[in-house]
Amino acid sequence: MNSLLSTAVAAATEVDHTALWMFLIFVAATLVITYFSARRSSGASAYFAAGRRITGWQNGLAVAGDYMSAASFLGIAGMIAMNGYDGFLYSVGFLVAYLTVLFIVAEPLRNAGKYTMADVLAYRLSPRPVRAAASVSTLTVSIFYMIAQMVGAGLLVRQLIPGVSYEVAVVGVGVLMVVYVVFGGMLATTWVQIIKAVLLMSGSLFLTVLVLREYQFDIGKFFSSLSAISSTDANGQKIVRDFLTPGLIFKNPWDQISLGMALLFGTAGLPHILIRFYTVPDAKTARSSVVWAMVIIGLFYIMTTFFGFGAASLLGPDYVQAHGGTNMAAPELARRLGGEIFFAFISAVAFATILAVVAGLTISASTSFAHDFFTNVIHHGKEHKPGEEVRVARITAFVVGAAAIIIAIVLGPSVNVAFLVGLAFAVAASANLPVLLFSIFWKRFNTTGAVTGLYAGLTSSIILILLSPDLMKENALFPLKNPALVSIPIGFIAAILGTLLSKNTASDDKFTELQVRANTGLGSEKATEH
Amino acid sequence: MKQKVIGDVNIAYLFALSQFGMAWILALVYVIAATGWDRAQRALLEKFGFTSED
Repeated sequence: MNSLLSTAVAAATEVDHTALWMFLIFVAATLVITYFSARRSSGASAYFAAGRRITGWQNGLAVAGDYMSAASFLGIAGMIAMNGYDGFLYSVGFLVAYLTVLFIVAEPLRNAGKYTMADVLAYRLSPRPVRAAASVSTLTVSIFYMIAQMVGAGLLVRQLIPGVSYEVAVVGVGVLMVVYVVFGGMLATTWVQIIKAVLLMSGSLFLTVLVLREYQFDIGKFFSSLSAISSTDANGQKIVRDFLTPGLIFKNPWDQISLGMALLFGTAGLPHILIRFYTVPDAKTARSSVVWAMVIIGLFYIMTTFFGFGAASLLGPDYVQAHGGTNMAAPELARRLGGEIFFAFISAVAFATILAVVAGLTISASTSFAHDFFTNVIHHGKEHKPGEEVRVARITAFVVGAAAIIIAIVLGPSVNVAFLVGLAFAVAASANLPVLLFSIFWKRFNTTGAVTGLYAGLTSSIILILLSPDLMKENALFPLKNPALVSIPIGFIAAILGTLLSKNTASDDKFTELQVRANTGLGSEKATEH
Repeated sequence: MKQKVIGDVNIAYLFALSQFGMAWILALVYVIAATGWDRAQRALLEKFGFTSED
């Protein structure tokens, strides 16, 4: 073991730049894609929805690439490596959440909408107030999530490539995501996400095989090694724990239930995931793309078992803690099993993972601002000049990117941003999903209900997060880390009360029209010709 | 939950793993059902004079 370590250390000093080169190759490939996308895409449908010509499996990969963030790749692997079984429960929630997307949201959304989630809400409700509220909620979710990713990216790149500072890493990631979105639009974003998904899956598979090789491909032996993992606890005591035992992280079951609800209801309300379903030709392809995504996402999260638990038994929690902490568990495992080259590859995969997610968030924020707010709220649904909507979206992408860079640098590397991801899911679950469901399925639902539902879900999530243990530490007024358990019911109740208490009645004809269109695709947006 | 079932694999882990299987099976059931709805939808559109391309 010692000789292996010293070779690794020697190799590290010799080929320091392998990771950097792999980053650069990935960046170069994505810039080539952006260049060709920019040449091909003209017109709003091409820019916002990749011309609606993405196929089922391509969109499935892109959805997976849009969704699986560095938090799930590095974060979950690290959580399993440090504390075992409980980390794996995150993996389960991330996959099961897609049933909500498949059963309820994807197909009606594709049939009834054009570019954004608000299109579906505005279909039979009074467009301006609903779009304004939906746009506020979309921008909130996207920007919170983006800041969390940017801070994570800065920290990670600093650890992965020696000599690159936090600020340089944040600016680098920010500039790249803006370039993809401003020049390449949805088409470039889609291909960045597809490449990322392929890289992430191959990296994970390779890592899994290397872990199992250590146990001569005997799964029984692998699990046996997990029953006694020794580590040092916070008080410096040596402890031996069975890593397959539940309850090593989550002491309060209500925390766990609240988080599960945020994932389960939030995924189907995440704007950057929803807009992916506009890139396919019809509802049937939207359905098959969810199925593809579920296969990919499921396989990925099952593999987290092998490299998460693998890091626990082959490296040990103490080693992970001493070598960069939870986020470095997967890359350090790669270094141990496959040497510097494989460490560099896994690092490049993590980098690609972050870029694909932030690009998806940027395009969802800019599409919502341009389409919902600028065109429909300010200009009453009419473009004054041809191409204006796309131009506004490009400017918004630039502004959003610049703002995210500045906020991430001001917050700095030491701030804990994990709660921002929870907040994004909670807002999506409490504000977006109730209103989306009611506007598709509840005939009586009206504009007042939609607006009160959106704002109540949004503000209750934010207020409860501000009062939670993550921000108020031990004096927390609200006991749960994730507000979903309380804020989701608030969102639903506000939408129901708003509807029942207001005098305005929704038009029955419009509801019937929406039902026909959502279920048959009659009158839905078509794919554009070349 | 700590009860070992196969070798050192316990109920907790098998439960978590079963959720993956459950999600995939429910997705499959939905896809099969939806294929039936697609047929009904095509028939309906044709009955009212819309070809499925419209």
